[in-house]
Amino acid sequence: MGNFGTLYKFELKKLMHRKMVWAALAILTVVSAFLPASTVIGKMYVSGDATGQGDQWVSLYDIVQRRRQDPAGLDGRELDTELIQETIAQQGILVETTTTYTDSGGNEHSFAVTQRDGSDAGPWTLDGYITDGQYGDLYNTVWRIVGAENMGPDLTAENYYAALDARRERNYALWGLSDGAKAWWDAQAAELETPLTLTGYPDGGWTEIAQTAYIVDLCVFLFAIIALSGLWPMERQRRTEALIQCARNGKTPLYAAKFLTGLTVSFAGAVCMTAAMAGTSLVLLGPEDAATAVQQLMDPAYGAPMTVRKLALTVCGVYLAASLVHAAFVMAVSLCTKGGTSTMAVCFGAMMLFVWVSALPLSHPWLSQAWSLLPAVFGAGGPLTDPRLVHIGGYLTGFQAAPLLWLGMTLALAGLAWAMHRRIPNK
Amino acid sequence: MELIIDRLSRQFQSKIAVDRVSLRLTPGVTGLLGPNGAGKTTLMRLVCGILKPTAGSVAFDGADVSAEEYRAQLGYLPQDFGYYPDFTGLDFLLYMAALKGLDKTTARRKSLELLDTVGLGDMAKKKVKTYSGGMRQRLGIAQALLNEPKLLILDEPTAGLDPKERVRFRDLIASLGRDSVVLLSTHIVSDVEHIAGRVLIMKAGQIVHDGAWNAHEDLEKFYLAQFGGEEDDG
Repeated sequence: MGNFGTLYKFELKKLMHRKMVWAALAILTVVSAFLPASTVIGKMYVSGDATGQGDQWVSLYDIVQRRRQDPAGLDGRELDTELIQETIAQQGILVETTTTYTDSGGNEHSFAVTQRDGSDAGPWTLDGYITDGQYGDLYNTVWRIVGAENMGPDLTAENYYAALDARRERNYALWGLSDGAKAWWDAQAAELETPLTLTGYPDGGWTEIAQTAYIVDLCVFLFAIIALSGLWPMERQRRTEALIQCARNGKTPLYAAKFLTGLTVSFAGAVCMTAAMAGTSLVLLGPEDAATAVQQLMDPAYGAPMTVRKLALTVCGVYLAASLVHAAFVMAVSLCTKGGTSTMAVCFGAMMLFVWVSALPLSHPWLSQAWSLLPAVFGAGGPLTDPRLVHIGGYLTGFQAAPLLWLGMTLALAGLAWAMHRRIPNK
Repeated sequence: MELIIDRLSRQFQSKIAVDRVSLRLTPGVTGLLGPNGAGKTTLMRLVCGILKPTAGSVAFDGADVSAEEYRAQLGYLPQDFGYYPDFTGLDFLLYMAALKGLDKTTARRKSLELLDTVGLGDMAKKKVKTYSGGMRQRLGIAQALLNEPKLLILDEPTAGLDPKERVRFRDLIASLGRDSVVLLSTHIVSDVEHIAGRVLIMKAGQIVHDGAWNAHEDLEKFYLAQFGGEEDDG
């Protein structure tokens, strides 16, 4: 295409000369970097003994670093009956107590409280506190699957893994999965290691990345809106549109150069923000063991083998692809509305809509699934929650289907934008 | 080499800006005069393909106005146009050269050559936002000439230039008219009087006068007579 490289270089130069683009990039990159940092900023009060001896304020960062040392010694252990019982013994059995009180009118009220027996004792040292936290995480994981009523001395690993299978089945039925999709997930579940081998460093950088990438994606969308809403309208504002339109390469070559510029800037912004978030996460929280499964840290009922590291890298890759759709959407809107401010208004409105309406009712399965795969909606409920598959020849998970869909959306929006560009200003 | 405008019309809601204009322009400078609102700029924008006509057609050497071959032969200086303030004068011309399809070597050579021609050689590396209004106008003229156009549309090319520059550019335009079709719209009747071999006068969207002009006659007097003594302001 004639002079494409030169046009692209100058379009990039035009865009990057705008102070607003740099300001938005800097601010949103700092925000992205700060997202994981917020989990280690602040202090926590750790109780000492009953006399107050050993009471202390400990920074959250120090707690994270101590957790990395795995004082409970869970690293490499299997989640079997022995560990489940050890956990219950350490944490205490859930008991329900009824408390009664009399109000000022003389009426008697009672309410039930479920709590772990022995929980009043409390940890007396920092290591004790962290050990309790490690067992506590494990306890809560098991509790969420088997139910509070089963957290007793009779609970075995077989009970736990059977309850996990039942939870998956219920989950698949709830999401309305077809028999084929269920069979696909069952085949994946057969690959899961049972019993699960634990690693010793919970809630580290990879988990944080997988959970925070969605918010970074919203920052990227915001950046695309700020940076690209004026990409076409600025030619009109600067009264350079006439010069461009009557030039030989003012139609398709210029359109291609501008569109690629928009995609480049949005993608580069996404790389900066994702790198800032991921870098902060890994530096402050540290990476988990490469073998740490999502079933240990994020969702015990997730039905396929997946490590938190692989999940984090997948989610980041998927959201980098989303940056292209964000850019294409903003540019197509700017060509339709022909104004920078109106483009911002429409795109902000769309972003608000995607954030507020993060899911559609399952009673409209196709619509609901299509909505769930939209860039600013995907992953809103957590990256592992939705087990629905897309059936195109074989089965694709959301992580595989979404980038393909977004590529299609980018091309469709590029086509719409091209049609609009060709009409400017001939009407 | 000829520009054929055939029953060209453009309507904006209830107002007819250009009304069934038919012209055949051959190499030489053709001056376009008319008061404000006569439809001169609309006619020029139609000829440049920036506006779509309501009816009629424009073709240059058989190429329709919407075709890439047409735009490849076109040079256009709009009456009111902007710049990229952070580009240098040279950057601006190199960008315009890329838009016009010039290869890199030719683009650089032509850009530097034209910057010298319009007296901006020593300002090539300065940002356009530091240029005066007259310098920007000269840069605009330079960009219109980058692709050595066979069809040159100039809307108020000498606006903002000092008298000395105006005379210089009048001569430049006259020389361009030897090999190209030049359509020149201006407020300044004397510009047309000196260099246009043919004069068009527009009124209410129509051509009310189309004829060769003898440089010894007083065009201003003739022009005012067309409008019953109205002063030329467009």
